[in-house]
Amino acid sequence: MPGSQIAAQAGLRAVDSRPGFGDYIRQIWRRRAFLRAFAGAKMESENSESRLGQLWQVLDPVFTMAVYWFLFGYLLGGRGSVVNYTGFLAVGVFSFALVRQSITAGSRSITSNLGLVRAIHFPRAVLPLAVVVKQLRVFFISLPIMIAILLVTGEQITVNWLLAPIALVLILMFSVGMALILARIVAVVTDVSDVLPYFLRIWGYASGVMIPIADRLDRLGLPPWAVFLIEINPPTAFLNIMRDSLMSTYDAPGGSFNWIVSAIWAFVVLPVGLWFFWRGEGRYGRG
Amino acid sequence: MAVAETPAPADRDHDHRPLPTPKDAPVKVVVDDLHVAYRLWITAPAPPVKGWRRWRVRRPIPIKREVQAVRGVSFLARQGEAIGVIGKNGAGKSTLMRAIAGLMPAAQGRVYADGQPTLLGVNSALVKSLSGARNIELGLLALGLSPEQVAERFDDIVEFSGIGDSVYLPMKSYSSGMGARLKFAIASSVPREILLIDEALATGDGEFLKRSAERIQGLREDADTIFFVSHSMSSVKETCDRVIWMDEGRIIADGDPESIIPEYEQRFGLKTRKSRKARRRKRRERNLAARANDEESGDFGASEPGTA
Repeated sequence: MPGSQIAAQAGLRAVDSRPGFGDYIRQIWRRRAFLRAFAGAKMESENSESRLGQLWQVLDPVFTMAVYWFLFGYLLGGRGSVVNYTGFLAVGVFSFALVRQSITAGSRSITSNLGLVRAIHFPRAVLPLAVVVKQLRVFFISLPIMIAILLVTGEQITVNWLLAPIALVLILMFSVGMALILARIVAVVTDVSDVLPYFLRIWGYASGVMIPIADRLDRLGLPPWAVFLIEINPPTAFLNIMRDSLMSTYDAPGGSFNWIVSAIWAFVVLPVGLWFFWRGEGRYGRG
Repeated sequence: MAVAETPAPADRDHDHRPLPTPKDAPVKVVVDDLHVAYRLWITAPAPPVKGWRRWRVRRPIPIKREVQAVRGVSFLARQGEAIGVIGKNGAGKSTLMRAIAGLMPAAQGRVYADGQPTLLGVNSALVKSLSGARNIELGLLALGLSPEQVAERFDDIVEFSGIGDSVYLPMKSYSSGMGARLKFAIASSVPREILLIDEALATGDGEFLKRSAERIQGLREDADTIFFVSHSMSSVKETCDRVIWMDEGRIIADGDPESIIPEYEQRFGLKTRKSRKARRRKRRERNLAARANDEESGDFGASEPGTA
């Protein structure tokens, strides 16, 4: 008798079988305590590895900001029509850092935890999710600096600031989805994680992290479809809604169109990421 | 591919075994023509050259290789069975365990089980940069326990592992024995239906070994089916009522420990060499003891006899 038939008669289940999508989401939810602990553990272990520990995570966007400010704001004259360029840069760099680091770290979440993956059974999506949760915590640590920069450079706290948490949630949903998608890709083709930083850097340039991209577009004389592509580029929209919420001196081009674009990206990429990652469940850990 | 319905009946000699598993006991695990392969990139070193050619960068081209760790294994395991898995290093035992636990995907064939088999191995690396305490928490949460259950078991695990206050030091500072003990303590604190024990007793001092053996007996009472990988034939004999002997990724014998273990020991010359070594050691100990006695009865009574 074939093995599969014996197994079916005895009511056995294949050990590498994938649970249904709904079940999978429920399994992840049940491991939320593990998710939280893992995110905390990762922070702790990074703390213990260098003298300044966590501080580097906060200093990274600050230094990046300083470099961009000097290069684009001072040398190349990239301020365009922006009144408060320092504040503009702060929101761009700090917010994009969340997206960039979530994607970079998320992409390696399976390959850098193979020991755990090969030792204990749990829904693997917990790993990329935990990595994004960790990055969110880092973001919250650096948040006071961003707010301080905004206030010092003359921004006012307005009612619009209440929109910032919503913008953050949308950015987060997108980051989680991207982390999941790339975690599966990198688990199969490890080389992708080597190319990723360059791609993310270029993506940042093209998304208006350090220069008001819309000002440039007019001058470049791009065809309308290319302009449209840049406008619906997810980080462009995310940075625009963040800046609109936090800066009263800056009006992002596009207005509420950015909110629609952001919401669509968030609500499409997150489910697609979960689904895509779930499709690979049972095959992670092959190395 | 077909699976033999009873595991190699010819090999099983039930006459002098008091506890054979009944042939009609429910099937708990089916391993059906299982193949497991590791993907590796192998770089062959470039041949040496002389002169200016040395300055040219010549990259050895990595070759993608599949290493077949398990090649076509099939068997059934029933409720109440304790199956010892034996074989040389690299025979595919640990890979087989990982595949049964659903942690290593199969290249071909499949493993079916009643519920989720749990692998209890000392190779299960957790997060080395973190303290033992953090690893206990992480390990148990990953196994699906709630934070309350983790808090309940924490002290027991620390006590069982016997690593004391080192539990608050990062695991990378542990000796391999300490690490193994902690991992065993974590994994064995959760009772499971199908249990895979991989070399759990390979490290640790005598006292810890005794405690672990007791715990494994306890786990056996709760578990439906146990797989037990070990190089210690005496503990396999003690624990198991069936033995699977693996070599180069295949099963070469499956059945009664009483008949397979002697054959295995003979094949690798374990029996004879071991006993000869043991005899030699015993003789040496006797001599030492006699000498120590002599010295103690003499004038050196106060000094430590061992150092003389």
